[in-house]
Amino acid sequence: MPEANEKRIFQSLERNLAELKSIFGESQDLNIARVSVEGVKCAVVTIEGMVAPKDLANMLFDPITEYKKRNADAEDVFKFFSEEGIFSNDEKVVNLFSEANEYLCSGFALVFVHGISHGMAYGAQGFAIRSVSEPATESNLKGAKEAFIENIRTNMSLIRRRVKNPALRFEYLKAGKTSKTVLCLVYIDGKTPERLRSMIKERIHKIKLDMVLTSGNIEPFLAKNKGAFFSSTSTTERPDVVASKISEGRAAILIDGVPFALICPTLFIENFQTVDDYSEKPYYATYMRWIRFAAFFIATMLPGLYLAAATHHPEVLARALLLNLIANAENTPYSLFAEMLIVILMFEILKEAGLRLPKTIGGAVSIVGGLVIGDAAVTSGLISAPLLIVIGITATSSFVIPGLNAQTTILRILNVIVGGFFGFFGIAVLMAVLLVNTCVTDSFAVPYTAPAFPLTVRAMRDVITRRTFLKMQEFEADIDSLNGVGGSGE
Amino acid sequence: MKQAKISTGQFFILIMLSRIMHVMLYKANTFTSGTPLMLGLLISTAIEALLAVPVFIFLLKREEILQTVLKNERLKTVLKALLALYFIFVSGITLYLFAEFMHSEFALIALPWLIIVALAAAGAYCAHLGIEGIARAGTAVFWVFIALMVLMAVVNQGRYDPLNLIPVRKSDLKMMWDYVVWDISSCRWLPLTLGLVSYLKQGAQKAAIGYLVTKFVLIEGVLLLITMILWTFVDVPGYPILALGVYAKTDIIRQFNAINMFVWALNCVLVNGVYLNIASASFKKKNWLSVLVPAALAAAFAILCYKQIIHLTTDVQNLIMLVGIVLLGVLVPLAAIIYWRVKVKCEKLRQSFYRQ
Repeated sequence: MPEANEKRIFQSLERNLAELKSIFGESQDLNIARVSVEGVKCAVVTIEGMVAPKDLANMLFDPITEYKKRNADAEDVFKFFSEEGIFSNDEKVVNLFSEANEYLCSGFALVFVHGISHGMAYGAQGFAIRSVSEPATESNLKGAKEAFIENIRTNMSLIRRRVKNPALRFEYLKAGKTSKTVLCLVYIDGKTPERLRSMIKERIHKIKLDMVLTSGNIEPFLAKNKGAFFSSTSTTERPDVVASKISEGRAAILIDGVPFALICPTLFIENFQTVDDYSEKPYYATYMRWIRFAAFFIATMLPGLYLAAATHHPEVLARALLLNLIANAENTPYSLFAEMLIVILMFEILKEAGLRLPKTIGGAVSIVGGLVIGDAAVTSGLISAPLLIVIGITATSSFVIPGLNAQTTILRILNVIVGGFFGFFGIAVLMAVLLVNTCVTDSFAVPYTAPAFPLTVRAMRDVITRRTFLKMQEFEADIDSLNGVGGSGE
Repeated sequence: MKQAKISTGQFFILIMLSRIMHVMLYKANTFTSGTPLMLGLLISTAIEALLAVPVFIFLLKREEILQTVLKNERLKTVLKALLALYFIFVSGITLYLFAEFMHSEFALIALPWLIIVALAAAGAYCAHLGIEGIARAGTAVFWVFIALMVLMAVVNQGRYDPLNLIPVRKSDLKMMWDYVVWDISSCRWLPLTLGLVSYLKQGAQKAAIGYLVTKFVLIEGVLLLITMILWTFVDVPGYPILALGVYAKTDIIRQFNAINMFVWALNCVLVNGVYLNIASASFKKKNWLSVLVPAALAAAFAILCYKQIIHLTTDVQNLIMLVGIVLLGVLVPLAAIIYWRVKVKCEKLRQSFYRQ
């Protein structure tokens, strides 16, 4: 694909229009409306579907037709467009064809005047956008019910409405050689350290991908630690979460076309915090937080530990449970390891099918999976009932922490494999390696395992419990203070 | 890129974990009574404190001494090579003893050479990730160990019998002195301090004091527990801490052997990671090879020891450890302090000469 044209706008209208047609390759969505303003030839260029025709007519064509000046020349007409008339609250002078391309593709209407080597761009965006709706992946009981949408400017306004402070800043960036996707760095001046902002901007400038269409395209470039199992950035579709995070000194990145914001840096412990924690009483929120810790442990470790104990370390289990397991194992044709892998595989297939199926028949998946396959498998003796119970509890627990879904799934499989072959020894070696891998992750000079390792006592209070708001107002949360003792930064 | 740093607390935990690893793998030849060991520990800790004086002074004046000593490139290279050799040996012995433990208690889990290779590979990976990650992970493992010990003590169904605390007899003296020698040869924290010195922040000498006190209290407490609950039953499993788990029972966990093994394996990976990280510092270029080579050497050494191709009796092991500790943990810091003092005096003399 040819690089953006760095040529300056011509004086000749026809040459400008020919150049634009050449750049856009005679694309059928390039609309050119020729107008004559007091005898001076002009043209209004738009991309079909990107501008609102009614708004364009009201804001541009009506004033043009009402312009009256005797003996007006090209300069007069351009002065009317650039200075005298008020057509839009977003007006820009265009000097280069590269700028013209960018504005056209962003929903601006371009006006060229024959005899003037500049153009004018007016914001007239009218492309179809989804309305603000409830969050699909981060539901809550008492918090706000607004989520980001694909339009970056709407998302910016959702954040601005929650942080009515001029210190809230938005900085545009670009990524994607072909897509030229607009990104927006969001932060609060005075809270977000300059080094963090510089780090993020530097890493985004290094992206050489052709297309940037999802947050997943950008995440690997932001995280400095190659081979890290957990990501030191997270995504959210909630503007209230973004507002809360940037008030702690973090930065958020909005991506045009993506209804999620990237938060950097993120800590491991934040995956266990929800919006509802701060709407409920501290004692209840603390209890629920510990339920989530337990759910994560069950989702990742229970199948592997069960398999390891039943296969290699039966002396660990209570006698009654052991006898029950032996009785069930005698009736099944496969080894416990094989059964475990089969059931986990079945569960993953059902989960994936549930995600991809249309909502109208998605319910059938749960009936087929849960009732038919599960019940039939146990009744026929293919799978033992205790195993199905273990997987059932594991599956339910894995939905408690959606932010760590990928890691939980992989960890579960790995624990089953090493536990099945090497018992508790295998699980211990895997856990040790994973622990060091997690502890070494600090992409933005903030340790991912903070405030536990390295220990920051004050911040730990909001990990073990949900700190009361009375205490919170005494102490401002600050991401920089989590570097703790033992963190060296970059 | 800034040099990684570990805090005083993390340094304390790393040296404690190294010590705990050695205690975990301690296998008593005969355990007639715990009181000689408890007395032996008191004596060995006193000797250890004396041996630690050069390291303590070294840590106090760390920055000045390092600036003076490390100017000499040849000296630096020799020191790094000695540390690498010592810690490859220590890593190999740790892997070998762990494989022995697994063979005697959990023989059906995996073949010993596979256990050695798995631990060496995991240790190499952790070493490659860096000392900071190992130090942070070590904090978690340390507290898991403490929690396990407390849990086993609380749910222990054995009776705490003070009558088991038999006074030390003349016949117990050999056992006591054997333990003293073994304990002093376990003072790996002295050469470990030298190996980690470039990562330490100011105030690391507090970790040294904390280590001596904590090690004494912790091991003495464990010995007390074992003696009061188990007395000579320790002879049956052979490993004292493992023996403690035999009588511990809860509704869910009937026996703590496998749980102990889990925590010991966690510790072994981390501690090996520290040893291999120090050994890898002797390589000029920091890449995968700089950790894989020491890990491979340590694993090979451990396998040869296990297969009895290299016959290393406990006495020989202790002797080599002791030589390393005296050389790298006492003499080298002492020499560095003397060298630094001489340099400072010479500099003062030169300056006063020029002033005149």
